[in-house]
Amino acid sequence: MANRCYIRSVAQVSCQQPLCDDWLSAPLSHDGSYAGAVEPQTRGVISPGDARRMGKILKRTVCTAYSALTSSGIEMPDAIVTGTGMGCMENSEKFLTDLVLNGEHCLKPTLFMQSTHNTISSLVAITLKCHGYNNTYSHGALSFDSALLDAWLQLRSGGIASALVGAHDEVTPSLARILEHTHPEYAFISETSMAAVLSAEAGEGPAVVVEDVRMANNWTAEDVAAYLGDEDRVIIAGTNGNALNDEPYARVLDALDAPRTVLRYKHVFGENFSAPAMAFYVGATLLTRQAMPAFLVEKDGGHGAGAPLESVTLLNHAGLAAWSVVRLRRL
Amino acid sequence: MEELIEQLKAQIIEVLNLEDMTPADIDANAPLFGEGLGLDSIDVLELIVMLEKEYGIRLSNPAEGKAIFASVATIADYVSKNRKK
Amino acid sequence: MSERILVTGAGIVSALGRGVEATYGALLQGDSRIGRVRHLRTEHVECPVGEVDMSNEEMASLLGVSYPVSALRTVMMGMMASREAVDMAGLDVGDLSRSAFISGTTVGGMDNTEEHFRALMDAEATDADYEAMKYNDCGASTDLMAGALGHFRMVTSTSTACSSAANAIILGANLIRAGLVDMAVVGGSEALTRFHLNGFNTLMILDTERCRPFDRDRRGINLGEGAAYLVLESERSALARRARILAELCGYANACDAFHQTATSENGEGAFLAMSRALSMAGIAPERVDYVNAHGTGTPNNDVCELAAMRRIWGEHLPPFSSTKAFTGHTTSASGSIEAVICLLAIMRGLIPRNIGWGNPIEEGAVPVLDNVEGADVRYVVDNSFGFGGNDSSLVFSKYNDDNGK
Repeated sequence: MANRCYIRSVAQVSCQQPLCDDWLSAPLSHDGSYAGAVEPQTRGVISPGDARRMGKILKRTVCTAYSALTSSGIEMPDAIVTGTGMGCMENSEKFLTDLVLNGEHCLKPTLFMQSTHNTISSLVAITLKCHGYNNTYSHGALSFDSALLDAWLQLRSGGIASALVGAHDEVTPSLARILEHTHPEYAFISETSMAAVLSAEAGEGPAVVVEDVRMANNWTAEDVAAYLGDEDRVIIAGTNGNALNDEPYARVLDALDAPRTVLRYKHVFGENFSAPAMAFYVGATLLTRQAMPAFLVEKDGGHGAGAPLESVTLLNHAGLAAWSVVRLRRL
Repeated sequence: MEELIEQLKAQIIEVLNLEDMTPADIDANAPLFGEGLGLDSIDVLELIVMLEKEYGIRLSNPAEGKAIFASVATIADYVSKNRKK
Repeated sequence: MSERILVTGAGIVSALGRGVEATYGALLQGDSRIGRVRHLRTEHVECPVGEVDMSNEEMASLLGVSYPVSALRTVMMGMMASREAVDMAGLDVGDLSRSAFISGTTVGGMDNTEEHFRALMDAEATDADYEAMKYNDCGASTDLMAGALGHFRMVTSTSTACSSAANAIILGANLIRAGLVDMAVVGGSEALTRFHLNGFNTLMILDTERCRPFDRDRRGINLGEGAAYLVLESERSALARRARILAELCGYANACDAFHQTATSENGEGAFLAMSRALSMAGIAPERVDYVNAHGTGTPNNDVCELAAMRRIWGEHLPPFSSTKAFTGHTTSASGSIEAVICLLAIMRGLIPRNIGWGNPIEEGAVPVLDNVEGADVRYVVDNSFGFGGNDSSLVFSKYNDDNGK
């Protein structure tokens, strides 16, 4: 019998107010196609000595990890698993700029040292002195799902009893410009950091579990629809209002026989490779709070107002035939 | 020498991103590593880059840096004797 | 008893040549393939490197690929090695649909990014400059490699610096054990880039002579490049399709040193945990290990800390160990799988490769394998991969016994 995987806490930094759920009642709205993150207060979490070497993404990572761990009541996770599409982009860009413009001399070691993808996950381990399993996935819009799948499998098999799972991407202005060209399916680009604590044991609050994590690389719309069962009544989709992005989701929804309530989140939190982690954050928050604000509802599939929210299914299309499905359930 | 020391303090603050410090906070004779400012081996590498960029001094072995970077005063002494620009 | 994980295919390209046979031949011959830089355009000609001895044009022509793949060295090397692994395992289209493809890389298409970066920073970039950026992140590189082979059930990328490929192998094994896939094509690919060469150079850990792992006077790394992939398969699937079994992956572990982004702790805590947890999963006493393919980068810090970790496990009597990085250079994200193939050769062909460049011990008794050992009866091998950030992983491969005779 596989262990359960409880979501003990979630925390976010994004273009909404950081490390809180203010967005539920008063979402910040952003004009234009790109918004940076609202930076969290680092005082009390990161010492000035440590902060001097950290780029923005690292500060956000430490703040979300600290916040999620604190509210979970788990001080030391058995594993830290992280997704990031681009890693420490700001430092990589600075290092490359020096390299390309000034040549191969007098380059700064700190920029290189803090430029790779796994800097993020290992910084959390170094901060916590956590010697457990530590891994980083960098696979476009499936970076978070890969990290979640890894931790979920290990929790279910009993290999670990808890995990800090997250996804983090920073988007510099020049990366935003590049993404607008390379990802014409995007609508609103932003920066997001999300951390969640998963555990084989329930915490004190409402019990929400990760029931299923599935990644596919070769699914048609019909395959996705077939995988979604009758119980998947409320779906958080990665739709963003851009037809290039939304068309595959529409095909899946068309292929489903029963009506579903479809929620969206990208207009609130924006988009980057780590954005699917925000769907996880939203799903866990809605199930815990038993909330479903109207500004998230894209299609009302008859989920009665005030009816209990039992489960939420996250549907993420990651290009071509690549999909992920994550089922969250309140027990 | 005084001028060079002040210049070095400002450069160290900038290169090592010691945001909340001013040159006045750094004692020219206090140890930079361990106690004092508490700098580490990565800071040595940053300071080596700074010496090359600002003063044209090239160190090829980080171990040489230990004695040179003991304090701002020792750096100033080394720079004044070896600078190429 | 959980599902046993077997290795049924392997493919490799590195400075030692293209293919498992060429690699075996080069190891047997026993000379380093590290030399002066030929293909990477860099000012740092003073740093010896282990390049795959083919230009991008030669690779593209061999593979029959055109732009954008022809501009992506990581992808082309990955295609060569993964194709060999899949062919050796005899996987067909139907097999791939029940397989995962997991690849480790850090630079991905950084070489291509370097070519277009100046234009992109000017905001006067052309459509071609932007187009080029579609393929350069880690995930895009992996997708191109996987797509060249066929339709996999699942594809993803690990990125934990120099242990990336080892962590891809670990995820593949975990997916098979969970029953999500029957097979997994796992490994890593990493091209030499100016970004990486200069990055390591800023840390002042590149040796300007040939690297000397585990030598008292070692000065640092020679970077290398390459790719290697294994086909992992559940025992049930391998037996059902009568696959040729190369070895068993009987233990693996990932631990974090949690000490420093670029340095290893003095007692090698992460390395110790990775090795001891992997051995415990394999269910064998440390004394039964016949060979350790060490991470052995040749930096003053890594080698002494790795030795300290090995001492904590084996005490005075270390098993035969060597670093093969003086053969290939440090192939960073690919090193975990490149060295896994070398470990398979130890098991399959009885070749324990020597540690080139060694002259004096770091400490008394810490003498690596100095001359190739041929015809050895190698049953258990440990493959170490340690990355920046303290991302340390160890794999244990063993000779496959169908009677489970441990």
